[in-house]
Amino acid sequence: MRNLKTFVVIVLPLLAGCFAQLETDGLTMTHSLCGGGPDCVPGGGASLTLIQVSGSNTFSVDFGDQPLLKPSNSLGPTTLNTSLNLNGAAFDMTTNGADFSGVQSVQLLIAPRTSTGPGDDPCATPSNCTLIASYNQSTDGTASRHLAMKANGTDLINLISQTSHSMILEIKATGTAPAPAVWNADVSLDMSLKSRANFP
Amino acid sequence: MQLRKLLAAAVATLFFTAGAMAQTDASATSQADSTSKSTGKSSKKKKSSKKSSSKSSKSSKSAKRSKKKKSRSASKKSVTTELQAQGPIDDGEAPQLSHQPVEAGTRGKALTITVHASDPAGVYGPVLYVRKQGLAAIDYVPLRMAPSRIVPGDYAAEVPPALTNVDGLEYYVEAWDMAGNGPARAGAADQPFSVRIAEEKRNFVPVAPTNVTIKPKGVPPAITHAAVTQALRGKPVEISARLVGETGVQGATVMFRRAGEREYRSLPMGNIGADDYTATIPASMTTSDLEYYVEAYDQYGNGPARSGSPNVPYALRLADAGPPVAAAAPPAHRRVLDDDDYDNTIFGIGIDGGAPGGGGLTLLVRPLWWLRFNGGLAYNAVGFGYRGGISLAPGRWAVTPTLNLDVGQYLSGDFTKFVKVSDPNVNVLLSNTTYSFGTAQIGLEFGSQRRFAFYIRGGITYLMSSLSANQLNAIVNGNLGGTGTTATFRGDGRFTALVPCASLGFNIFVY
Repeated sequence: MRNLKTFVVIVLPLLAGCFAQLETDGLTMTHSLCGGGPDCVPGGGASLTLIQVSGSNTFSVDFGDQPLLKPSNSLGPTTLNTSLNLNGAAFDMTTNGADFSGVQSVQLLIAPRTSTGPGDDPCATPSNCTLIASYNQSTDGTASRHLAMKANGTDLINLISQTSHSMILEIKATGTAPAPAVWNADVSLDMSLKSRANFP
Repeated sequence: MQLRKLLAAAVATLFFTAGAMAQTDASATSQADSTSKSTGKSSKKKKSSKKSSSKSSKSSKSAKRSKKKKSRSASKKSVTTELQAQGPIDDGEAPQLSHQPVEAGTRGKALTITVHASDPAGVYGPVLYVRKQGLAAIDYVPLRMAPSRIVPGDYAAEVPPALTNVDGLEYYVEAWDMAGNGPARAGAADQPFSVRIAEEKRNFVPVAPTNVTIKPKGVPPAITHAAVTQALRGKPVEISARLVGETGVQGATVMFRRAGEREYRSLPMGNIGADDYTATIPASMTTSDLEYYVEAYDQYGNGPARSGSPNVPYALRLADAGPPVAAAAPPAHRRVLDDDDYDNTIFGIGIDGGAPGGGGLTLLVRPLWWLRFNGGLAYNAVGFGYRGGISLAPGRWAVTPTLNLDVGQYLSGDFTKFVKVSDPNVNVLLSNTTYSFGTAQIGLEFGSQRRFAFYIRGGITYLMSSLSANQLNAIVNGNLGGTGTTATFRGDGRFTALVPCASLGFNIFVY
């Protein structure tokens, strides 16, 4: 009986730390600003403030109805919690002869809603949006066709709409736009996915 | 012996002298009779009366009376002659003896020899001569035979018990008549009767056991011990023994001392399961040769039962570590399955089942009594795999705690048996999953560590599985809704889990 008590005393604390976890460090979501259509972003070396995509100040990235892309899932007696941390973001110019060398800074924001038109800025009030990545030419160097933004470790899972499974992004920039009248680029979000269930 | 011979000679001389005196008297009487006519006449009458046995002594007496009447006026000489005529009748012949030889006697018991002797002149007490069988003629001991008070003419002598403490006796009987005629003999000095003296036969009558039995309660345990004769200097020495007691075992002890010391030191033995006991002489004591023995009592204090003893202990030689020890190692012993002299069994098999590990069939190898290695096949509903590990059993008791560490891998597992999903890409991923695991368990083993033990274990399992990047890409991209968006996994995903596990099974060590 004494041995049995010892057995229980040792085993129970071990069971308290049990878990199941799925993780991947290298999930990259790539989204074409023009959605696979013709170039749609105004350029022409104009001065940059908000980057309009197809006439809108915001654009959406659809993650689809992924089984794990929920902040929490009930999984039997336990709960599966998921995080989707942004490691970094980047623009890759897809228009020939265009680059980002005139861009001074870029901020990639999560907007609470889509822009209704060229004059509608959902992030006019900064607190309404979440800055997830940024670029500054003075510190990050001059970009060419690839503009890399540093992420601040935001967990994107709570910013993905659980109904549309999409995320609304807004791009604020300074400097001059690429030379072509319109251009296009791929926005890539490099993320780490971790789903973990602790039990009991 | 000389004294006995001297005594025998003296007695014989005494008898001889007495006989001679009797003969002298008789011859004197005869001479007197021959000088007297009447005496000669009466002598003739006596002879004729002896010959005519039909005439009784009564008629003889009446004749004497008539003769007295006729010779009332006889002279003084005639009176003397008449008086002499009333003495022993000398028939000139020795007494007649009849004797039934005695052939057997009992050692330490008196032996009675009887003889029947008769003579008209009367018998001068027969003498029994007896000696130890095989001695010389001068060793005969004469014993005067006494007349029977019941049967006239019967004589008997009793050989005293002191003379019957021999293997055999020899005897003969001599007798004279009162006239000195003789000796008549039954047997002879050179042809004696032999008497065989035997031990007294004791009829053993078994006595029925009574109902009252005084019997000590319990018996000391039986000790089976393979003596340890060699060990390494400076290393602990384990002494093991099997103690089997109908009334329990207690006080199992190894008594040991350094060679040359007088006093033993006591080292209690611990039960390591079933009837096996062990004690370890600490390394600090193994600096020189030792002597030891094992002793134990039962629960009632009966004993001690011992293997070895204080006076004849086992000698344990201690050698230095290294090649010389190997050279001095005892000769190899061919082991058999039922060889109980060995403390440790080395090889065995284990069968277990549990969750989530499933079932396993493993081979067991025990290089040290407290350390086991295992390796073998594993199976659960997901698929087949292999595994291996070590177990530490820091005791050999009836219930022994263990620490078990195992690692293994399941190959080509199919989790769709447990998880039903509609996404075909997910099904592909789940149907071809491999995983590795590491398990740490503590357990309790019941039974003999040497042979058979049943166990239960509980602990944790760490599971690791790699999820293919291509399959993950297929899953994620298959669920993307918008156009112009793609997902790419740069590397495989990792699934890990730390889950509780439990198992039960048994180990059988066979060699």
